[in-house]
Amino acid sequence: MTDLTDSLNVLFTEFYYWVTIVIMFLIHVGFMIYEVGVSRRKNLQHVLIKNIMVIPVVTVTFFFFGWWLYFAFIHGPFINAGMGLDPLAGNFYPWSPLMGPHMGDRINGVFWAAFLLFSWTAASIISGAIIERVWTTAFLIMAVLVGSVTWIIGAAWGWSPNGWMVQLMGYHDAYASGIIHAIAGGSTLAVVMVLGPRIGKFGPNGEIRNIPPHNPWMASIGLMMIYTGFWGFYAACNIPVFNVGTEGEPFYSATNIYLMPTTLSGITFNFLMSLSGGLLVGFILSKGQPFWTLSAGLAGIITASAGNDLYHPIQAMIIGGVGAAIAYKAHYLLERRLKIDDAVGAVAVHGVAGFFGVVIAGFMLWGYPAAAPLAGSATPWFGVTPDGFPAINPLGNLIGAFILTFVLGFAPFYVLARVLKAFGILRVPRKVELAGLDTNTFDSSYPYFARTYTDFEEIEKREGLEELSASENRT
Amino acid sequence: MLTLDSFSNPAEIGPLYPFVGTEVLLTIIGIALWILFHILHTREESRKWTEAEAAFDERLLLPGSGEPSHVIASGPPLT
Repeated sequence: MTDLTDSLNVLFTEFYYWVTIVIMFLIHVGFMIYEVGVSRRKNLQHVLIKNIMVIPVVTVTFFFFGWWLYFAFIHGPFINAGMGLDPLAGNFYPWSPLMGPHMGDRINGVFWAAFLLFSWTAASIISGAIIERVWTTAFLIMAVLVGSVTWIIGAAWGWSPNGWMVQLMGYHDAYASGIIHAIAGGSTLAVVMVLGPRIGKFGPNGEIRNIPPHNPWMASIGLMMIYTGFWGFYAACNIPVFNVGTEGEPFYSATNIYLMPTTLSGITFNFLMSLSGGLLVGFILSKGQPFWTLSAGLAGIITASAGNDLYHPIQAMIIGGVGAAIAYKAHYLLERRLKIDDAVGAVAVHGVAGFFGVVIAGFMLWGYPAAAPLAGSATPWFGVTPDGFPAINPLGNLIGAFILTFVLGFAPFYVLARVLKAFGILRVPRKVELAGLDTNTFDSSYPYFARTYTDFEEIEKREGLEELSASENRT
Repeated sequence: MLTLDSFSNPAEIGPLYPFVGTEVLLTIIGIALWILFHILHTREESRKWTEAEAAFDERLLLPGSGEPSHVIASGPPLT
């Protein structure tokens, strides 16, 4: 830090990430508001505390081992040319001097925190789908698994210039359609399958019943807040100043996470255009429902995110619209066919849109350089560019989408949910669910409001009591 | 090194925190506290649901109420 230009670059980068972290905090605020809005009043404080406790549990575990995994597992380990743990990973053990205030480092803490905020998001994606029936204990264990293990391994593999999926398959996913959303969506699908639907969600003949949110206005504000935080997320996925030229002929630009050039200005076009594409389609498909219009906007961004560093804004808009349509249809298909009770549409909006976003990027950006080749890396499987860089291609992104959704998403969470269920700590007792998770623990959430009941709650009460009575007669 | 007593040569300074050299011990303590949290929380949540089930059986907690039992007790019947 003795050269002024270099120092300013480092200090600017440090401050840049710090600002993105503050903005990204709003994603978590948004998820919390959204989920509380969607919950019924008898459960909402339980939902609230579940979201609050994601923060400390994922933060400390991400410090203890999550951050190290990102650097250690970039080669698989042992997938790319037999390379094991990356030697650089030694700097990111929790006991490394660089994991604290250090005069020789300005970036590690802010970079760690930017990734950590993504970890909270991954956990929050699962959280919304399983509200009103899950143990907080079980959810927090899931939060550690997705926030500090599975998503960060996915990031090591496919969201680092040296990751084996990037080097060998030309995988490209600039703003984490697959790395965060497909992993968390696949995980959510597994958990809701094992957890089962809320009492009364499906009728005796399989008919689907709508469970109205206690506050649609609050749910909408939460979604808008998630959009706001998403701005910070996009900026945090870039490197703000990097020499994309040579030492002799430097050319400074922002880059994506793979150190390939993009611009903050360009991704601003694409963020808003993909959001708009999703909103337009969601509005039409849902016939103007605010909840689904806003969720479709989110699905639009998520679908276009894999290639939003390079798309034309109108491409981003169309891809966003396509993704929103796929997510909307997929949500009701899953509900109808698999009897999935996903309270917030997380599997469709994050998992399905994320999956298809990665696949679409493989086609759209076919032949673009994925990242600079790593010394010692094996030859890329699906082609190289004229400069010898691994090339982005449809097959690499398709395989990548499967790995993220099913190998790192669905499979570990299906096993975990089964284990938690076997220990009896996955789903709250039926009586508690029927009465409400708040009712024996907390004071009323709205003590001055008149008690009101929806038609659904009458159905839930009747069928829940019948089920309990039948169960007690059997025993 | 327990403490820093001078910032006069910043290029030579590495870690800024006190008790450099205790990082492994701090990590062990931190991980132990994290695991302890999960153990305590699991016990507490188990107790909470058991009590809630008992309250339901004693009709202190009613289905579909959306309110704690003391509010229900003063409200109209829900059946």
